[in-house]
Amino acid sequence: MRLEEIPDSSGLRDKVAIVTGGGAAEQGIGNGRAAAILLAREGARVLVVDQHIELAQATVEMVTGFSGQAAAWEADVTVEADCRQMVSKAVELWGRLDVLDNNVGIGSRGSVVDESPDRWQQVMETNVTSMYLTSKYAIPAMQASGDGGSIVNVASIAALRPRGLTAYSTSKGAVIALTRAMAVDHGAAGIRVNCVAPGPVYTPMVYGRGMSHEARERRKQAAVLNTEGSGWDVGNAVCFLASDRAAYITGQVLVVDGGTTLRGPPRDTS
Amino acid sequence: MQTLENQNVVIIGGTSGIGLATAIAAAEQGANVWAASRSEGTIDKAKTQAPDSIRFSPLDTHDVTGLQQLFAEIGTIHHLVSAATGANRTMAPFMEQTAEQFSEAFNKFWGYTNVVRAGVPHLSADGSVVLVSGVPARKCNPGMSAISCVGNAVEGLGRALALELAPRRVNVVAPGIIDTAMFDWMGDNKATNFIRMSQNIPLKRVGQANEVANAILFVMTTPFVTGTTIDVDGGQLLP
Repeated sequence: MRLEEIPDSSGLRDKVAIVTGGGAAEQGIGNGRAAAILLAREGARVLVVDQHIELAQATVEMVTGFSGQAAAWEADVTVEADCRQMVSKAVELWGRLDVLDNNVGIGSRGSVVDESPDRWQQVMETNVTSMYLTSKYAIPAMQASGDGGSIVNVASIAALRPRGLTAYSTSKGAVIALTRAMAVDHGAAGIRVNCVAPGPVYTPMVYGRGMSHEARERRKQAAVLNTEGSGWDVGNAVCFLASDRAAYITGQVLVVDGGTTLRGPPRDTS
Repeated sequence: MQTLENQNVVIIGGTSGIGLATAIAAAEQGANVWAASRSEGTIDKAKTQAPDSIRFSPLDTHDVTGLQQLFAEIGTIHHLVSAATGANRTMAPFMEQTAEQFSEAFNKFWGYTNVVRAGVPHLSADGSVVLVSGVPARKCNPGMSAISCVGNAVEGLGRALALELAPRRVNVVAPGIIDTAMFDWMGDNKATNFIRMSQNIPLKRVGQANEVANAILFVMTTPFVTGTTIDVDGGQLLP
């Protein structure tokens, strides 16, 4: 069966999406890669953006593998010119922009006493400023496309249940506030802005830093469901929020954590 | 993503508004759907709008024996939704209500607890419970203390049950102002009132029942989501 023959229940068919942080190491399924694949499966055309083009290209190959439409693009989303060009590229390729999924982020461990000013600044620029910059250029393009739009930012339960990742928690708290503020600013234009707050999901970014078997088990047990999530769980939530199925949802912090925030057990993964 | 194909989905308060929209959406995705409510009038109307496959039955959430019988007949329940209103609540300042009037609003909450108590023994290990609260739990106008407190009780129950019923998942969906029969009392003024009521909603409109149903189906079918409350309110809680 061809894609065109399947009913379009999500309203994503032929929409255009930008997924930042859409690459992942090797065949791993990161949050961005999962979202790119799921959006493309719903019929969206996806610009997969990564600072390492070959990682974005690997995601594109996965999408074209099932005849989805995607293109790879290299950008550093902490750089304003890159963000402007990224949006222009999506519009140049496919004539419009409807969805922006902001995945780029870095972690950092330590209290304010431990954290160096340089690292603090880097965390804020990568995790918060990037979302401001991509949105700054994406929103006018969405408005020009005429059908509203949807922005999904990836936050973290670290913003809700701090645990020794203070710069990271602060940045993700800012992502939530940014999401809510943009939802108010652009609601009248039909642009919805939501975030997903993942809990213990086992993604290439997590295991790429190295995680012991014990730490992984402890992390699983932190979830009420006694299991870990994957990039697919986050991507699925992103895809829902991006779709028409969430047409009356904006400013939401959608927690995808297997219930970890309900009880706040020890879950340090150092 | 879990599929609803051939799953047994029970919706208490499923014969009108959000509950009915959920019943129809679940049936369209291949679920076996049971929908019950206390109002036989709405059942007759629902039957004209819904697929024949949906099994409707008259049932009050305060009829514990009736709930137990229905659930026993179904056997295994995969997803249990409580969307019933189930109470007469008084819209008046707290200090102008009698204790009895205020307590009466909590009959909705007792109905929810009855549904959970009777339903969970039949709930499969990979199943879920979805409770419907409402925006007034966290943002309300004067005169809405009863509905606010009941909404908070529902949301608190959802989080507590998520801990206790795992691996079964429990989530809450909190609708904002939704265009349902609940507002039919406005008569011809409904459309104008909705425009006025939407002024402070970021998306500048009220919601539709199927938009809430979509969120209910999302939490039902999403394996790593439990203890979450999803607001389907056009951003009403934000400004």
